[in-house]
Amino acid sequence: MNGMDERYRGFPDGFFTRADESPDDHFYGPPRLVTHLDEAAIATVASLYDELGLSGDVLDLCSSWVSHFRIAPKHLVVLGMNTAELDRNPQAAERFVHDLNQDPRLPFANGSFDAATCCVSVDYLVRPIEIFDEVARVLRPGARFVCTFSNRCFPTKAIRGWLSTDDEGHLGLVRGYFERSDGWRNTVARRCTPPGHPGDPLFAVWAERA
Amino acid sequence: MGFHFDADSYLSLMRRELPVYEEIQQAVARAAAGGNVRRILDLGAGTGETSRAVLQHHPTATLVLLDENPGMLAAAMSTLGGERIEQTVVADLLGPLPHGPFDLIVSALAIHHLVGAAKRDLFFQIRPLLRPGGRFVMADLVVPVDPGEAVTPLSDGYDHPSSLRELESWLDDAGFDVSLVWTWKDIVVLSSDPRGDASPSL
Repeated sequence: MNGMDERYRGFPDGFFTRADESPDDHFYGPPRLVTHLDEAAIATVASLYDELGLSGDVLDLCSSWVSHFRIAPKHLVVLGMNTAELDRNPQAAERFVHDLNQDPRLPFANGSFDAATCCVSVDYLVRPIEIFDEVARVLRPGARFVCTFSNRCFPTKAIRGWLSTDDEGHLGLVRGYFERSDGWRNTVARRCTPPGHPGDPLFAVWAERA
Repeated sequence: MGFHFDADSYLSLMRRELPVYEEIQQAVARAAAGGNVRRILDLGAGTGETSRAVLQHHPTATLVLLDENPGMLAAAMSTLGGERIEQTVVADLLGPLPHGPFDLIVSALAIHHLVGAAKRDLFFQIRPLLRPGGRFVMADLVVPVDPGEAVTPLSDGYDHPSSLRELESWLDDAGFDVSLVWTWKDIVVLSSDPRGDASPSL
């Protein structure tokens, strides 16, 4: 757990706690077939995935009914909290219901994927360093893990540290997850929409499997 | 979900179906007056009439407007002028909410489109977005105690009013002290202040 892992040293007490600490499957039980980003931000996610050449065997973490690829990867594995939402994901080839906050271990063999994504959900992770370790483990060398996020969330389920941090702080925080976990190189943090963008802003942090 | 009003006809529809439409906006604005309000979130902002009324009391505040209809938000931009608007968000009330904190959150005639459980959940999501001393003011349609007071037209599957007692109970569950500040037949305005520390700060 966070308090026992030296890599969480420096985060204030309570940083990874939430207003609603009830089991996540309560909150995520009812399917939410809503968009979590506006159309322009979704297009920006898709463009970034294109730019970074995400293809082949791809793992979409904290996934839902849409994975935002312009063209579906050859084999997209989606892992999320809600069966009904995952079943509606038209790009998915395989679906796994898995609560990463309960168990950060991923149910995949070492080196299974060419890329991984986590779209607008990194703010809900209470054990991000262990999860980032695991993503590195299941990626092949050189594969990228791309985290995208905006400035909206479900405030009762986002970690308090996220709620008390601004956009720039979020970029630094996710960069820190890569730097504190094992197996990453060449971390990049990018503001993908310009300051003053009228709709949902979009930010991304990614790194390569070392 | 899906509230496909046309922005051009929205105001005339509202004024026809709700003869107290302007009074509702002013009641929200009065409940939202006072304090050092710098940042406001308007949930279901529509054409910006509620925000316009609220800005009378907080002329230097900035606004984040959320509505699922981009046409409505464009109309709101025209109503309010761009300089007061920090961000417009095309989203519905079931999805994630804009990053706080806010000094004031308002919502007029929007939340009744959610079913009861979703209303309750929304109230829980709103609370951590308020700064200490912040306030949530909502105006909405309710199921009145006296059926004769149910005068506002409803659309099946589209409008899901709850009773005043239910709204107050859910707001209380979410950690608000609730005051009924205005009412007319099947319309209420509720002013809700967070109990204790609503701040997400560490």
